[in-house]
Amino acid sequence: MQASEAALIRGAKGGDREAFCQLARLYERRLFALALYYCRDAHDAEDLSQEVWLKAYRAIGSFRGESSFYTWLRRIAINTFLNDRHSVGSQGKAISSDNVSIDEIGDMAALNDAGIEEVLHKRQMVAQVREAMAELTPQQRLIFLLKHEEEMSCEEIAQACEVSTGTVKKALFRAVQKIRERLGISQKNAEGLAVTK
Amino acid sequence: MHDCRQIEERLIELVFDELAEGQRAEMLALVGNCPHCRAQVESYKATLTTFDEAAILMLPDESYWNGYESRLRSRLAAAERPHLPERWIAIIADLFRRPAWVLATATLLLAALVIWTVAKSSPSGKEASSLQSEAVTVTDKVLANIDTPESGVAPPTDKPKSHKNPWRGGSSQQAERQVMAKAEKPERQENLQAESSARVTTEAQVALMASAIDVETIRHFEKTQMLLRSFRNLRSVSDAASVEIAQEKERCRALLFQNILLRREANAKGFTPVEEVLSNVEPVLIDIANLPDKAPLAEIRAIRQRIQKREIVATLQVYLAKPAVVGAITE
Repeated sequence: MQASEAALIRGAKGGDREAFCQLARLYERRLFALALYYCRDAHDAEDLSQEVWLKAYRAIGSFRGESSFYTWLRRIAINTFLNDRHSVGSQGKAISSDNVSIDEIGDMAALNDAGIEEVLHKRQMVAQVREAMAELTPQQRLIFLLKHEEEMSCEEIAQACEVSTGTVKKALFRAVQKIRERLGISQKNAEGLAVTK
Repeated sequence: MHDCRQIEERLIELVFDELAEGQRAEMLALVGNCPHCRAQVESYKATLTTFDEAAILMLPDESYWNGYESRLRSRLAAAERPHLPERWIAIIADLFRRPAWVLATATLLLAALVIWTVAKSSPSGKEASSLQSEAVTVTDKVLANIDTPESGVAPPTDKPKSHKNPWRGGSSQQAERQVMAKAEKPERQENLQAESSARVTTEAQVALMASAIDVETIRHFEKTQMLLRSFRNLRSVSDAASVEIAQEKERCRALLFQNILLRREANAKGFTPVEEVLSNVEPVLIDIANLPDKAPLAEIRAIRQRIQKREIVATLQVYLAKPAVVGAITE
């Protein structure tokens, strides 16, 4: 797998678009998921993630292989996310639970077999998480995702986002607090791992 | 009994496994003995678990990916460099999509360029032509800076893209100063025609900058620059490892609030240069505002380096020096 990735990178660096597409296939889901949690909207996420691929395609010639391909790609993604005006502009775009249609939920493979009650419960949970993410600033959202989804260390995040480690820790703290608040998880009912659902 | 509030933020580090082994053991012991802190940790864990459950549900199903890949292929194919005439058409079309003032300014600068070309064709001294070329260089940079922020692609480096000030094209400030210094020389009497064309060009540049920012933003730049300067000059008293910065923090918070408002306003007006300057300043203000009252010297040094690396103080100076430039020209 590793060898084929190296071969694809070599091909892509040589201008082979098909090799680049094969390379993109390896990471497109991971990158899309990151963009989706960041934008909270599938269309915006597709736009944003494809913009990252486009930039990577143009820049692949300069990839020196000093870090893994994904680390390099993630750098481009972080820069693109931070400079993305759409996500900044949509900061105030609160997503009410009404905006998530039953059809949309029906599209979600994981919900297909669930009962109606469970579907509604899951629908509410997804809406709450989206609302919680919308309440975070783009920087808080990105830092939270880089930590929780990408499992980067606070120092790596600080370096990538050009902020101090203290700022990263503070942003992380505030992000989790805001999400907890929006999800209605209180300290009392969390005791004994009970979650308000 | 420990103070729960004091370790509140560190609980997150525990949850995300960010503590060193010794600190982790110490924190676990603290949490084990305090029901409140234990409940906090559990609530954070429950929050992350719920987030994960929802995150999985948000992902599209398998059928989505074929379409995604074909759309990506189309975009990559379309991204191939267009031919030269198409690029020119795109640039001109893009210019007409911009606000009227951009078009007006571009026309003004074009007119200045024509005047300069005419003046250049007439016989003039060596200095006059050098003065002209510098003035035009500054103008070209300003013009180029209007076009570049949106059109550029992130540099293909491993380093994160730094925010560049669109007004400060490296040596543009220096070039401007040289233009001013030369304009003040007595020899200019001999080259009135050439100087007049250079003046038109520089005035066009200044007018462009003046139209860009309002008084409130200028005042904000001024206050921010003063704060950053005083922060840059902070020194530890009696070799202590930390510096008292409560006052700077207080000022910083007020400026941060104002910065966010002005940045959003600039964004709403579509005025990219000012927005980019404010965006460049904001992370530094956040960093300072987040420092403890007695800030460790190492943290202060790191922030100073960022201020220096991004040339923030100098960037703000370009804006603040503007009225003086106007004054010097009209004298």
